[in-house]
Amino acid sequence: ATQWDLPLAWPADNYIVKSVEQYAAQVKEQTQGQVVITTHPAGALGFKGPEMLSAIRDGLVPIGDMLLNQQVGENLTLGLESQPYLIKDFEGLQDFSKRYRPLLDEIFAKNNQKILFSIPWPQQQIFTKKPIETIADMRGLRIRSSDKQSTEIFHAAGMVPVQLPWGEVVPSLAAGAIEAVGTSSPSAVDGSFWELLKYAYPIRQTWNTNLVSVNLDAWRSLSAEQQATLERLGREMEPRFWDTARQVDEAMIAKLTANGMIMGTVSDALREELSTRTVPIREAAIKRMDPKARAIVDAFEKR
Amino acid sequence: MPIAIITTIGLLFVLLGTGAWVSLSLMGVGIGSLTLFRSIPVDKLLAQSIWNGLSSPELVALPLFILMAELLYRSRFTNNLFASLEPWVRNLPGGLLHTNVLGCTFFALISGSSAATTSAIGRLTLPELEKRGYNRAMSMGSLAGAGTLGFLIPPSIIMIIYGVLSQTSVIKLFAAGIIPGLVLALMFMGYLAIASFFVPRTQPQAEKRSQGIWGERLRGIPSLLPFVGLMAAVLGSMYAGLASPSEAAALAVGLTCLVMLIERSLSWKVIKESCIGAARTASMLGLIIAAASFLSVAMGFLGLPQAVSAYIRSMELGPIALITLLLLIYVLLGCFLEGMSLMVMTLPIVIPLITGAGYDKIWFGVFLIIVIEMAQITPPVGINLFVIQGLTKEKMVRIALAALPFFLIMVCFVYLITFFPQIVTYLPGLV
Amino acid sequence: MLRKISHAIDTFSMLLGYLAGALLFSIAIMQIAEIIARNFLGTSLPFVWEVGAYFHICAIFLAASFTLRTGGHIRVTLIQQLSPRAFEILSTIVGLAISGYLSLALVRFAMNFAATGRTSGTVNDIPLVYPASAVAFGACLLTLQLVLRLVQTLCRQPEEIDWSHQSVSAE
Ligand code: NA
Ligand code: NA
Repeated sequence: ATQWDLPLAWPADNYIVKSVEQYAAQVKEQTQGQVVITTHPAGALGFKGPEMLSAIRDGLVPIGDMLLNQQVGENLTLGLESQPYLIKDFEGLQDFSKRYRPLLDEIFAKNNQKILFSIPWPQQQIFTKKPIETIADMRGLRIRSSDKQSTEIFHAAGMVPVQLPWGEVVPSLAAGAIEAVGTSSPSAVDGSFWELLKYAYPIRQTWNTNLVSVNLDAWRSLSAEQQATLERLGREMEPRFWDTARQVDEAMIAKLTANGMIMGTVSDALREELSTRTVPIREAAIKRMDPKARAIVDAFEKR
Repeated sequence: MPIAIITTIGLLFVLLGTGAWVSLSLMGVGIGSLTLFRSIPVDKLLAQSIWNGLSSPELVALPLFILMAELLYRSRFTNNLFASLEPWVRNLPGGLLHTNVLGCTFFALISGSSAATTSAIGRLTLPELEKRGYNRAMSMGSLAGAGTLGFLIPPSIIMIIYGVLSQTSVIKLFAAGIIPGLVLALMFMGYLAIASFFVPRTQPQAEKRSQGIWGERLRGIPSLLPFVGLMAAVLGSMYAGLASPSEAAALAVGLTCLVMLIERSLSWKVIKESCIGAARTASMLGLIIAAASFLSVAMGFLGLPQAVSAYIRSMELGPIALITLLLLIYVLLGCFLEGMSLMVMTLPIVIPLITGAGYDKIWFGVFLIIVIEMAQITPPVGINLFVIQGLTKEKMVRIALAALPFFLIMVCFVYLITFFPQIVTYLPGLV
Repeated sequence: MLRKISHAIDTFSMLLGYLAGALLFSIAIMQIAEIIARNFLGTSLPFVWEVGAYFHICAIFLAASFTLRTGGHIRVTLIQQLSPRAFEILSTIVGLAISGYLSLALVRFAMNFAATGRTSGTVNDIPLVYPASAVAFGACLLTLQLVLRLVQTLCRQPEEIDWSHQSVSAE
């Protein structure tokens, strides 16, 4: 039988890990135990995330899971979905993802791998100590930011984005070194944010997607029938994983609310203001990407 | 895959046995067993694991605290530290040996790392204890044991990582570490007091001076002030929100320089020597950490964690038996792996086991921190032992034997918190 | 001849040791600057954490050779007493083989970064070839120092020097 190790950077009870485990279980069942995928969550195999595209390409692991916008160091085009205010909402992400996939398939093929399925992250929120209604409330707010795009967006909004490793976030919040965090609801629950923060605002400045892809040399070692099974399962299970992502967001928000966090709203005016301010960032980033990215964005905006 | 595991352990003993450097040996073990049993590009995995293991921002506090220790050692105000402390502990059985435990307990309040705590305090205490004729094994052992408090008493880098991986509140974890840290420190001091009746000092105690002990104590206070002030400033900056726990290390370096500048002991030569001294220690520790993280990755690829967890599951143990078995496994693994890798490698499979047995994740976090502390002082791979060897040039076996009583105290302590979990869970319950 | 080569390599190792120390000191300075910027200037220096981590890994490898030469790397010498010279030769050969493999792996790692133009992908977007090259270079120097050590052992020259009295630059 074929034995594959699949590393994941996320904690063992994260929904992405659970989803990938469901996929692995189905693969094992439907190939009659001929293809066995073992998941290694929480970085247990030493992989942290930004190196996953190259790790799969170079055959360090036959199969792996990656956060797409963490791979921009390898290929700028992989940051497309995370461009500021390109995508409005979850439905938009679903639509965009379909248009984007052919280009992704092309990029991944060049990197000696094949995409099996994707799982999105929930909407991005900012979690704060004080309420935020207008852009003026954002001025000078010390906010933890994890990725390049969010840092630039927060900066454009007048906030002070602070780079901190995730582990430092909670102690820094407790001490007051930072006053806000930009992340999604599952991470807010992981960090028990209600202990230290009060408000949550769905500013949805970027969107993030996770992909599971397989090394092409490992892929070719499977029989045609096994390949077909893995492909079919990926295609069939993907919509379910997307539903899970949305349900997880709702469940996590419910949990945050139950613990006393106040779910705020972002007014259209504020969103418009943030969007306008970040147009130059978006344009500059897309200019540096594969020309096909521009075509995808244009078609998406005209839809 | 028992053959792979037996080969790995065999290779480890052979390579370490030749006397080759620990860091290179650990890498050799990983390279050898992966080449034999897995078809992956081992050289790429080695480079990537080293890169990932060391380019972690949380790790940066370690060399900075070591740099602070090098500076402190060359400062004038720490010279008188011992003379001023002596009258305070003179009448306690164990005398100045307690400075190891007390020093580490205080330093642990600002340092999140156990190696940094050991290095910083040991740099100050070991030469002084030697000069005053204290038993060497007692000095080294108490330093090795108490140095591990760096992880248990907040802030703690390893607790932060546990919190992230296990999805528990870092604040509650920090709160959970305080009472166990203090109780463990008291147990160490109790042992030192009792043992001092059996292991006397080689030199007689200094004679009491005429003006009485309180006069001496009070006269010593001014020389304690710079050190206490330094600690208070770093601690204060952290709790006032000026600096994050990792940044506290940088602040500690800066403030140490400032104090030394004021007392005019900071010269170009002192900075140069401190920097290269810190670079030496950081290089030694960094290479071992990198190698150990590669070795744990190799063990993951060989399926060791899965095999062990399947075995434990099949035994269907009760809670106490499970903890005993986990303790045993962690002690064994901890002989060869460094704390951080030990945790990252085992957590995903151990968490379901212990929550299944009804243990609280916060409680288990403290258990795990103590077990990891124990791994710091067990040979052949024990980071605190290496730090002490770097300080004393003493033989590894001697240091490990000196640390053994403190290791046993920690074993007892694990059972203490197993039977009285309130020691751990009381404070986080209040948060 | 051997002495001259050895002296040149030792001096170079020591210089890199000082460079490593300077890198560590710079991390402290950068972080203090960030603390001041964030608390008093209302801004944040986005490169501090990332560059600090790279400085650390570079320092570890750049100081490795000097640390070896001055006896700072740890070894377990339990059975070495049986035959000190034979074990010294054996352990150096074992160490040399592993260090050689490590150096090769790290050189390829850095070359791969150079070839793909890989950057850190963070807001600083640092090309990873720079820190990776310094790391690879430090590992190569460690290997070279081990070669030298083997020759020294075979020629019955002292393998280690005392660093605290600056004996490298003495002579
Ligand atoms: Na601590
Ligand atoms: Na150990």
